[in-house]
Amino acid sequence: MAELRIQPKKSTPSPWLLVALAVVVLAVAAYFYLRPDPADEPAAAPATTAAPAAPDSLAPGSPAAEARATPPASDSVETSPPLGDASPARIRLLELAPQLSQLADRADLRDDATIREQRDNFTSATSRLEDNDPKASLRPGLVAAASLLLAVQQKAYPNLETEANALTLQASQLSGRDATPTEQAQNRAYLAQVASLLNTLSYPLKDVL
Amino acid sequence: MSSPILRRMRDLPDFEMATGDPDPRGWPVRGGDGQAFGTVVELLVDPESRRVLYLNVELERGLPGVPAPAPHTETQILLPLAAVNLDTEGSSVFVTTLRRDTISSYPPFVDFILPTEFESAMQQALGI
Repeated sequence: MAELRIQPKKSTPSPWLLVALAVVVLAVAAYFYLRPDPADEPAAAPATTAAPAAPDSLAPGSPAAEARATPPASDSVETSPPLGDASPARIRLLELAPQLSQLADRADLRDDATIREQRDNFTSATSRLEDNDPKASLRPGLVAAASLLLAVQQKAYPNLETEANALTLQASQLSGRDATPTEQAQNRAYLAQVASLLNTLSYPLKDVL
Repeated sequence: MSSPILRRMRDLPDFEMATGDPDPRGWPVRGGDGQAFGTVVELLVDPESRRVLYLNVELERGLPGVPAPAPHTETQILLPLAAVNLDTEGSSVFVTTLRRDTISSYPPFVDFILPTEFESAMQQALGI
């Protein structure tokens, strides 16, 4: 004996809802596939750091430099430069950031997973400094710079192992603050070493002794 | 007990076959000899109990003893679901108590009105 039952139709989703869902999925997929390659981003970075870089051409202690360091009280948030209260080490680190990124994005280096990871770490650390995050410590950026240079050295400059390791050791000894004269001197010396090694690494291996 | 109010399945757009139950519309109806004599064209259902009670079967033309239908019409019968077997794999309905040569004795379904005696006539023809 056969038995057949019927039931109220289940509410099926509107076809337009499915179309909208498909569009959203495609948009998300397109965003991930078509977004600019991280290697293209440094092109915009110099524009954001150009402002703090310019005042460094002023002689230290000159009236102009002091005027720059003391923002006008009436300045709104939008008009005050993000690095107006920044420490010298912070400014210097952000100055070096575009060069470090360009180095990591060099054709012979950018495909290395370690370099890419260290570049991302460095970008993450310095972006907090660029955002003028009051809780952002200098230390992650300083250490990340050394790690990035170490990764570049290990990838392409075996003869600079001593310098890169020394820089890493020096970074590990930094406090991350830039308040006292001692800390400022340590940071200044460290960043000078970073700039020096960065300059060396910017040359092809065959030109580096 | 009041008799159920029968509705054609096609008149219930908010209903569908229950999950797992086949829809026999379009299936051939075969007699005890395995020969097809009609096709299921509609289901008569009781929306209250949510059950199919009858299969509305359109008979083939030229069956022995079955008078030719009026122009633009087909001869139809109702088969109580209780009297049939569904072959879901072969998509066929089997009525072992009927055959092509005996279908002429089965009461035709001439309208969507079921007279009181119609059901008993069907049952008598099916021997149930």
